Amino acid sequence: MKHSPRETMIAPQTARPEPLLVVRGLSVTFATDQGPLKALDAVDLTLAPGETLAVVGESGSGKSVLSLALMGLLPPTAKIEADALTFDGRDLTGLREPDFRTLRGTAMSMIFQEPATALNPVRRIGDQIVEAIRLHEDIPAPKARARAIEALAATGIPAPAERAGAFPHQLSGGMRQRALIAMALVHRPRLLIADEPTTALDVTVQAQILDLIRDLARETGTATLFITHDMGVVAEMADRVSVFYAGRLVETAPAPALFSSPEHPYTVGLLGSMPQMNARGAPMLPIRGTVPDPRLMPPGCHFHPRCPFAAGACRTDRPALREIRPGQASACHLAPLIETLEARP
Amino acid sequence: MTDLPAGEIPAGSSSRTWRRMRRNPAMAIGVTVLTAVVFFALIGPMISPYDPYDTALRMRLKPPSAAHWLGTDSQGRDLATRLMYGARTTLMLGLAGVAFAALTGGAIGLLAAFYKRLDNPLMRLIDVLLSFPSILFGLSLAAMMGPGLHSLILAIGLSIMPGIARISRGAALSVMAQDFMDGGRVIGLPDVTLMRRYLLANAYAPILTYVTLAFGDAVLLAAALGFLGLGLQPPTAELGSIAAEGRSFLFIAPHVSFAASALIFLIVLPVNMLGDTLRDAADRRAS
Repeated sequence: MKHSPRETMIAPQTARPEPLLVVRGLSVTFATDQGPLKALDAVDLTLAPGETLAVVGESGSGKSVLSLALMGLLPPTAKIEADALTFDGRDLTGLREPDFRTLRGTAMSMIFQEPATALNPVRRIGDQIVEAIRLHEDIPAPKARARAIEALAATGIPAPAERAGAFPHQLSGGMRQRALIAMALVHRPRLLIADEPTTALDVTVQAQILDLIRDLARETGTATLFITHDMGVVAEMADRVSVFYAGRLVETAPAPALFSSPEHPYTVGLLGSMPQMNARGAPMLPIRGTVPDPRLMPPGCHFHPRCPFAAGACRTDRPALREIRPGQASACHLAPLIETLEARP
Repeated sequence: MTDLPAGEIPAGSSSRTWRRMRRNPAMAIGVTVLTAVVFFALIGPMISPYDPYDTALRMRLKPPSAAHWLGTDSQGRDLATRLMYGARTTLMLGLAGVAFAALTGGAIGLLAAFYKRLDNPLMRLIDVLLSFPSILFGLSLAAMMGPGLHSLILAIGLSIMPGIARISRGAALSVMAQDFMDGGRVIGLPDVTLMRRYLLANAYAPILTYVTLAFGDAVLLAAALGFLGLGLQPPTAELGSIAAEGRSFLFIAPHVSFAASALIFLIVLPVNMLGDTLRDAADRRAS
């Protein structure tokens, strides 16, 4: 590919550039037959250009709803409220659908969890990429085709010219995910949302795809919102991490800080549930219980019924997101946790 | 896909469907009979020595002979020639009716699946249409608008449209639930493109199957309306009205009604066999 290699923007802690994405107080409520269902509850998020933010949480934590909200893909039954929702300086809340459509595919793009079903099964891979190119760029078909093959080649697909003529079902899962990545990055978007892109893949392919996303994002200066529930993937990919629980943001921190000193009991639990290669035989520390039914959320801190430290205030008051140390904030009454732990026998 | 040897790439699902259909004798019979009837209706009028409207009172109600292979009708017209023109008219009516129904019903079903807020209003409208017996609905419409080609096509189309709308919606809804619909949105495709290349392109198989079966219904309905005198008016040759004309002479010249009815049967039966085969082929592909 003939990219002029841009300077990569690392070190989000120091000289932080203008944020690309600002989300403040984002709530999403679905109208259901059983009444309103709050999938996201006053969530904050910022993402700097070129930065990789991992959004972590269990199924039902609202992380996929977040990605759909950012892409403007939520169904009309969803009510979106936000104090601020800006992308590249533009307010997304009032954006009309035609403008949003232009934004999608050019400035922001997305790859999905299930590469088997994310491509249109009745159209050839190459045709789908050509379509994506020509939708936003007025270039002749042969030129777009060459670009599509180039994009496939950049994802490491062998014999890209032949693969371009293949239907999705003729490719392996890894190949399909590569094709999706090629399609998503063909306009060099400023933001790539990756919704559990490796969950459905073989372990050996997972690492390759992760490397690919990271390399291509770095090359194109694309900021990545990486949605996952796999802490191993987080460690591999993320500059910063935001942890979601039951529709709320419970902790956000630079990745190293999150791993060395988590400040929310839920994060501690997530890390404890991770199998450790070098601690064989040591017991894992799973989190008790299950995510509560979104219609029957416990009062106070949503996590308190499962929290080993839960105290009085946890059962009544919603904890606010507080900065514990620079860059790290936790929504826990008891943070910093180290003091809580020391106060106990 | 599990029945394929490892490494073999299927040449495309449509050709596999085709192979399955060819192995099916019902398919072969259906295609042969239908082709023969269509040839009879399209080529027949060109080679027949008789005019379907030339009456010959001396030749009334003659049984089949060397000159008149199927005999003559109550006006002395050559019955074989009448049936050729009649089959052409009836086939055309059925085709136009089913085309109208497929376009409107398909559009309604796809729109209802694609735009959630249209779903309820559109489908309640379909429920209303479905709550009439379709023949009664077609009849009253034809009576209301007065006889004529357009009202007849509209009546036939409107009475088979609700079923097509329902099937289309169902097929489209199952496609809507798939990730690639969001995948298409993510690259910024406009709704029209999404509906055509993503939604319809993946949902068409069951719709097409149903439309094939509905074509048989449309032909039957056209003939029924003709039989009841609500179709095209005499002397226009139409299978239903030919059968009705022959009814008055059923005991002295049964060949008229019998030949017309047999021809209707020979159109509808192969169409239904074809539709069933298509449905089975699509079903097996899905499983």
